[in-house]
Amino acid sequence: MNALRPATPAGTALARLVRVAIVGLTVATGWIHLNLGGALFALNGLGYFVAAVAMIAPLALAIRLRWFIRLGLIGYAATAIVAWYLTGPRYDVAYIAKAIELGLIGLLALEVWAYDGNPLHRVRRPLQPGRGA
Amino acid sequence: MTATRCTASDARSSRAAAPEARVMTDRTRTSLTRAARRAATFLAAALAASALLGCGGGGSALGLELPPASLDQASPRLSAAGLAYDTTELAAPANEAFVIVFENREAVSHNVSIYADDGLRDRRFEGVLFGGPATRWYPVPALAPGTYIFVCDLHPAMRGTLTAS
Repeated sequence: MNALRPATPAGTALARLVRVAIVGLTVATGWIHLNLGGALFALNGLGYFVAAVAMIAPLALAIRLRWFIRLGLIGYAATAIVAWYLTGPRYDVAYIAKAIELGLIGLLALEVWAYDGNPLHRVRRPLQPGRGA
Repeated sequence: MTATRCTASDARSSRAAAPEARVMTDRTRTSLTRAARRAATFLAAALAASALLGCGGGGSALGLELPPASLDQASPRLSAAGLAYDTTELAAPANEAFVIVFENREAVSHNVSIYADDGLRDRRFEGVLFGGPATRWYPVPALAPGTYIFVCDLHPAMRGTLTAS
């Protein structure tokens, strides 16, 4: 039952600010990628938009899986940075996008720390018998 | 001692039950503020590292915003629109520097870079990326006679063959 109970957003101004910043940075880098042209960048941008919505959607499922969305978005942004470092062109828009993604990862790590604790323990928790997500 | 253990245990179960319903105590708030400071320090360091990596990897892109005074009217020209170049064949003189006139007709950023191989590993010239509509004049250094690949670094599907002879 507890696992299905809709959680409420943390009430502090700082926590709200962090969440707003995460959504803002996610939309910003999504918008940049969407405007780079080409299917790969468009899909990358759409992925960021979906993640931004998932971070604030007031749905029980989204709230329950927020820990997974946070970790997934960290992995998504980190993959984009590594892919750019290996093959991407070095120019001003790329630097801005990567700086935004680094900031995003930092803020997401902050939320993971504040809400979920050790990510490894959090990932193991749903796998334990009798424990939900 | 027992009370402390109970409190910690309660906090853990509360976190397990509803992660975001965790009550923000003063202690949590202080820790969050401290973590925010650490995150800011980390971000500053990461951004500095990113800038350094960027400078190391991409300081060589060239592109003039105005045509050079000595522009040869026979200079190779191409344009980009709809994520495509208007030509896939360019010709240039071998063993002498030349200028590529590149017109980007759309807002999406494009450039023209020249590689000696299909795998785009041996770059001979890197043109600066820019959004249009705008034109840049790329001063390409002398190339040995042969066939090269010209490509947009942001959209590798945009490519063609440059023949230096």
